[in-house]
Amino acid sequence: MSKLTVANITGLRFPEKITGQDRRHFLGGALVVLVAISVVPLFVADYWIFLSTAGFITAITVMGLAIIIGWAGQVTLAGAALLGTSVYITGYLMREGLAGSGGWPFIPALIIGALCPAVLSALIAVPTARFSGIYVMVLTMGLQVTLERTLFTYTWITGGVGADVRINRPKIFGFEFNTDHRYFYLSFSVMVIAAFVMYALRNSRHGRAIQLVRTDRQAAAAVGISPWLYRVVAFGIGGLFIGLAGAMTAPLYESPPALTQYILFQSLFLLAIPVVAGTQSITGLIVVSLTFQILPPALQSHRLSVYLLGGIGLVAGTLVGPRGIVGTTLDFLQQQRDVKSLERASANENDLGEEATDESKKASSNITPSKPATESAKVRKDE
Amino acid sequence: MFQPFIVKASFVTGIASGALYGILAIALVMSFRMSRVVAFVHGGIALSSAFLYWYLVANPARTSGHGTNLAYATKEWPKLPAVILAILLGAGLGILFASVATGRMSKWPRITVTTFALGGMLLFAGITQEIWPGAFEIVPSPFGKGRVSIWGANVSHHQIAVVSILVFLVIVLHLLVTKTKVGVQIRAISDDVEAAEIVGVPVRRVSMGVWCLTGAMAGLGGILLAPMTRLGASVVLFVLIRSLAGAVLGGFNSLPLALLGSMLFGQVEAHVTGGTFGKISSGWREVILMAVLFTGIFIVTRRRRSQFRLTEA
Repeated sequence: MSKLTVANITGLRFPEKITGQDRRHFLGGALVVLVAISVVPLFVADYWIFLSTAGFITAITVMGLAIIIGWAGQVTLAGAALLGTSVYITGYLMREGLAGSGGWPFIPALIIGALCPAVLSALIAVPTARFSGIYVMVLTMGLQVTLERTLFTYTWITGGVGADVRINRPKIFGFEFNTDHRYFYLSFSVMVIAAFVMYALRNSRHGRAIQLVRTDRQAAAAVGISPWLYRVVAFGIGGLFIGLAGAMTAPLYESPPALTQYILFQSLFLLAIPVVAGTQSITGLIVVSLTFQILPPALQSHRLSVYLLGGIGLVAGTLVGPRGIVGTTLDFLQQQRDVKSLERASANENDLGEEATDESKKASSNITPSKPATESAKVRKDE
Repeated sequence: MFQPFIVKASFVTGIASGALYGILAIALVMSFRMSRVVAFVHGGIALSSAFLYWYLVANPARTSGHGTNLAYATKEWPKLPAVILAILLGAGLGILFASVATGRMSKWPRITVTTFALGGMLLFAGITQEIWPGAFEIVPSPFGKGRVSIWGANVSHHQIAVVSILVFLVIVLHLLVTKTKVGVQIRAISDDVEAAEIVGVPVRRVSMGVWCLTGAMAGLGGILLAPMTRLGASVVLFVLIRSLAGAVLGGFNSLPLALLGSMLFGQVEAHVTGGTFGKISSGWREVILMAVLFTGIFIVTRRRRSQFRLTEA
């Protein structure tokens, strides 16, 4: 299973359109999640509904990170700060009275709030696009700290800590999402839309261009794709998803959330999610986001801290490989299925006679991914 | 505007904080020379060692959570054994990280190993915070409370000790890397792991040794930074970022240059904070420091591009 070839680790595959099996995985996974989501809230306590809402919003953040990490192959450490930027700016625009700007409606506040991190993220990518990944890490870390120490310290934007500043739940086209249940369904719908946008984007011309820049810069440049431009675009799109998540977070808590949610360690925690999930399966991203959001409070009696969970996730995720734990599991299941179907095929051919069996066995050993290497190694040893 | 006593005092403060950044910076550069990876994990190691040191020497009555939790029942040991234990912990954590990572490092792309190092940092930080949930703890210095006045700046013995330790470390390590056989082996591994293996360099042993050494240095850095600020996870991370900036300014490849970079960064920070250029808000200070860091990266990568394949990760 652990295929330690260069191609597998770096994800060196030509970025293809997703069709067939993967497409069915996506749609099947989406269907299961849809059904589960619409039924579950009828049975569980409000607290869990609130947590799952936060989980959906985290999933949107993680999609943004997955675009930067998975498609562009760059690690950004400014995730939490970008999220916080959007949370506080949206909150500032939506608040009424003294502590706010006069109570904007939700949609325009959301648009401004989502655009701010997108612009910041793209701007930081403009100079970094020519640097190696390590310097991108250092610079995004710098962005994170700078935002923490500038924007987050202005209480007139953030609303202050523990202040009795209220941000009302949004009202869209006259319908108020004023209960936890209603906001749950709103967040879920936004997440589903985000997932479909991401899915469509991945198959689009531009999405594949971003991925080609990661796998082979020279090839991309040769076919007229500017590596620099598409890296900036990837950071921008990622920032936009993160911004959307932030804008959705602002009215979730109904008051400005604590600054500790948007510090550097939190960036690392967020980074752990796409690393664990792998960046191929959007359903995987959503499931892992929900798990990571719900686990720490659920295991509070065992004192599972967010940092510890994130640390375990990052370490385990990198050890497993670029497909992540979810991707690797899917690969494993797929392989099992392939082996079974081959066995079935060879069993069928068994009836035809002895000679055919040898052929089919040879064929099966050639098709099963892990076998050829060992076979040829054996041959070499024998020689 | 340019008042001489402010400039002089800021200069002295800058040297002290630059030295603090320098210790972690040389640990980062050493491991980078070895494995071409930014060893974020040293931040986690520094945090663990600092908290162990705090637990062993602090006065329980002065901890933030006195009496609420067993984790705050600190020991009040003498300083020396506590320092040694904390450095040993750092070395041990360095080896632990290396034993998981070194075998795989040669096969992984650098960005994956760096992510793994980030994971190590978060993991060590998480475990430390599980054991000692303290934040903003007061930590006594291993060098006592004495202070002297140099050029109008009130300098503690601790700060003088930090500067001397750093200079000593840089000289010794620089000699180790440039003059000894082990140094040649380290440079061979950093240039080409497979070629080094072919000519008989004990790759695994040497890299374990380097990680052990840098882990110990990170541990020492943690112990030394704790008394200068209130100890907490975010404080250690903050210093780590400054160290990273210092190392980057020094080109991430040479120990004396890393020392110089850290000192430069410390100077800029001290002068901006201390008021050499008039009153500057903390927000603008960060922006200025960020600009310094960015300029440094720009210069370094421009110079480096011809020498190394650093443009592709």
